[in-house]
Amino acid sequence: MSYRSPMAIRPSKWQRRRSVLLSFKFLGTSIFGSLVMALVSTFASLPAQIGILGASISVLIGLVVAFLEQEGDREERRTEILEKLQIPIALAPEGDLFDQYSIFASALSELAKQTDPVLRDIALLKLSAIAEEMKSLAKGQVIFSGTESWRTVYEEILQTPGLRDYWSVAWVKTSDYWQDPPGKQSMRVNLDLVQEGLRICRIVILRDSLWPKGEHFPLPPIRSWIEDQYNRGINVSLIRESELVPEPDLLSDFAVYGDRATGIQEVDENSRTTRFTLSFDRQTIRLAQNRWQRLTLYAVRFGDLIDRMPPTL
Amino acid sequence: MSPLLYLDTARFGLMVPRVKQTIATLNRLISTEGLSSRFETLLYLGFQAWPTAWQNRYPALADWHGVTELKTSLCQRIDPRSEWPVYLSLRSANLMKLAARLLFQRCTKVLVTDLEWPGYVNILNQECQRVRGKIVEVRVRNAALRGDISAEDLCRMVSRQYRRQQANGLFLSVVSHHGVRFPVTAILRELEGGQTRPDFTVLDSAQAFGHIPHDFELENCDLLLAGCHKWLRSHHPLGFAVSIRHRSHNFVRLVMQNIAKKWDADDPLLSLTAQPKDVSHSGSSETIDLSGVFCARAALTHNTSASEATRFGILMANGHDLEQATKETPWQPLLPHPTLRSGITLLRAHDPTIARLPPGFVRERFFRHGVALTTYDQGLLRVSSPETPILADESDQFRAALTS
Repeated sequence: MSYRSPMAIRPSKWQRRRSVLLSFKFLGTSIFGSLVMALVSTFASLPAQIGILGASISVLIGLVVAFLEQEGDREERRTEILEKLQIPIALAPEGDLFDQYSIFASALSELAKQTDPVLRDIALLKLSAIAEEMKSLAKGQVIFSGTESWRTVYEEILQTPGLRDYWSVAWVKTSDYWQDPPGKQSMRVNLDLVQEGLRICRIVILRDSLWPKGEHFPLPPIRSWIEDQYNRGINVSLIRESELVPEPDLLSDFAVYGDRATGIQEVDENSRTTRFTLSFDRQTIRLAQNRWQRLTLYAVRFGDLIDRMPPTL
Repeated sequence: MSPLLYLDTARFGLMVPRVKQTIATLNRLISTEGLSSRFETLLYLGFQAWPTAWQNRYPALADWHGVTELKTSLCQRIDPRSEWPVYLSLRSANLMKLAARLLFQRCTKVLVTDLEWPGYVNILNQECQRVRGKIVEVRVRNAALRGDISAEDLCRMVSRQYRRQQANGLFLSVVSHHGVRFPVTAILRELEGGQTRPDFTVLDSAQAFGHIPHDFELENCDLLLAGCHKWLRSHHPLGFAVSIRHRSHNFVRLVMQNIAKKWDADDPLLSLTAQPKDVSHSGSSETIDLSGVFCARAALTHNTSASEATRFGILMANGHDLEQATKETPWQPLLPHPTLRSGITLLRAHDPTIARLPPGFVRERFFRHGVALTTYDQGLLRVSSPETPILADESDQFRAALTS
């Protein structure tokens, strides 16, 4: 039984092409060269014949080398073009991304028609910023700068079905921490989700001015902010900032959303968010989980502080 | 015909005489007064708040001093020096739902043993599935019932599994429905001394309250569940939960209030008692069957006649007499190690023919011989020791029932 399909038996276009040996270019050049060499061998001396033969062979080798180099360059350009063509092919199944790609591509084609140099400079500047952001997104990282709008994405992640654990590290430098309306809204979402079954563990790193040494509990109003979370089912632990002096890399405001994502919040001295970086990169998540584990070594459970509360008079 | 030898307290305690008087008087009051303001005065402020004429008319209600006093009395029965918050419920299962919610809000992995009450484990499983938590079961039943392990061994087995499985929550019976008395103090101490201490601990004292002395340490227990209708013998079902560990008081209260709001129709008593003190006097929006609270208070008074240790001594002595009565009968007692024993004894049928009989049939046969007890599949009987010393003819009656 033959495994060859009828398509395989039929000669291809290339196979049906006439042999190079029968082409005019080959036959003409060969006959012309042979005639010249016949005249040389008849009329020239032996050293002259050898010299002409050597020169001919050298010219031939030079031509072959030059041809190969040109062919290499051509192949490289061809590959580049093919790679560029592959992007839309790879994006084709990702409908939403492909739509965006098409919009970008057609906008760039339109932009190419603009000739004003100032416009092109501005466009290139803006495009390079967009390109940087795209690269960051491609690495699984979203950056929000100088805005509290990150909380929308944050709340969306927390409400993702399947998320069981949320570990949060709050580096509290002032008593205003999460006391503004967006912060309070996020806390409400936290408390609602605890009721739904999300397990939230929060380590609060407190500046020593908020939890002075010798004080059993942090000072109000931070104490009531912590107490409220604890009483509503969030597992809260505390660390004094000064205890982390030997490990400064642990001084950070970050969160781990199960094994899905990690977020780093940077706040100014007034506890306003300056930057929030959300990362979906596996390696970054693992590093954040590791950092969390190291922090737990320093953390005191808030429940233990309540149990060890000195008796009041 | 001999009077019924009641050995089924682990399922449902016989009503004590004081409760009988209270319930009769309460019915008389309600049949003439309904839920009048006079009744409300009694309910919230107690018997002392009534005019003397009314006190004289209904003297059997003298034990009642209000809901708050009942909660205090229940709490002080567990520890006389304590003032822990207490929550009452018409159904113990509702309190278990609360316990499950609390456990899985604080913990990801809860350790139980195969000696827990299956109904409670089901509730725990449902909550576990809801929040995608985990339950770790330690198998100790067979070894404990064969008498192969002591309290120390049991403590070691539980704590080893707790650490190995990296659990962070605990649900244990103080006395299992099979009669195994858990070394809860030792277990909790061992776990609290370890690296991963439990974030929340619930003890089920349904078979322990009114049965064994609550002389064990409770400082590491967050919530204790108990009921009045078994060993306290208050007749009307009344469950209660005690929030013991200080750190969990507000946590328990807030969750309780949330749950009580959602379950208004299901358990109005829980809803009523979960309210803050100043609100609880303002009346409930729904009619509640309050017999359980009055009966529980009367049963508490009845049980103060002897110390818990004395009563437990009598239960154990009775248990020994009942074991002796099994000699030369087709039933053999399953005796745990002396450090794990309680007033409940399991008996197993030697004879495979008896073991194959349906539990209902066996129960009926014993009843016909004047004995009430619990029967299970595979020829298993549960005998609860009575609280008064067993007489010689009662032993004979029991032996006769076993032999028949």
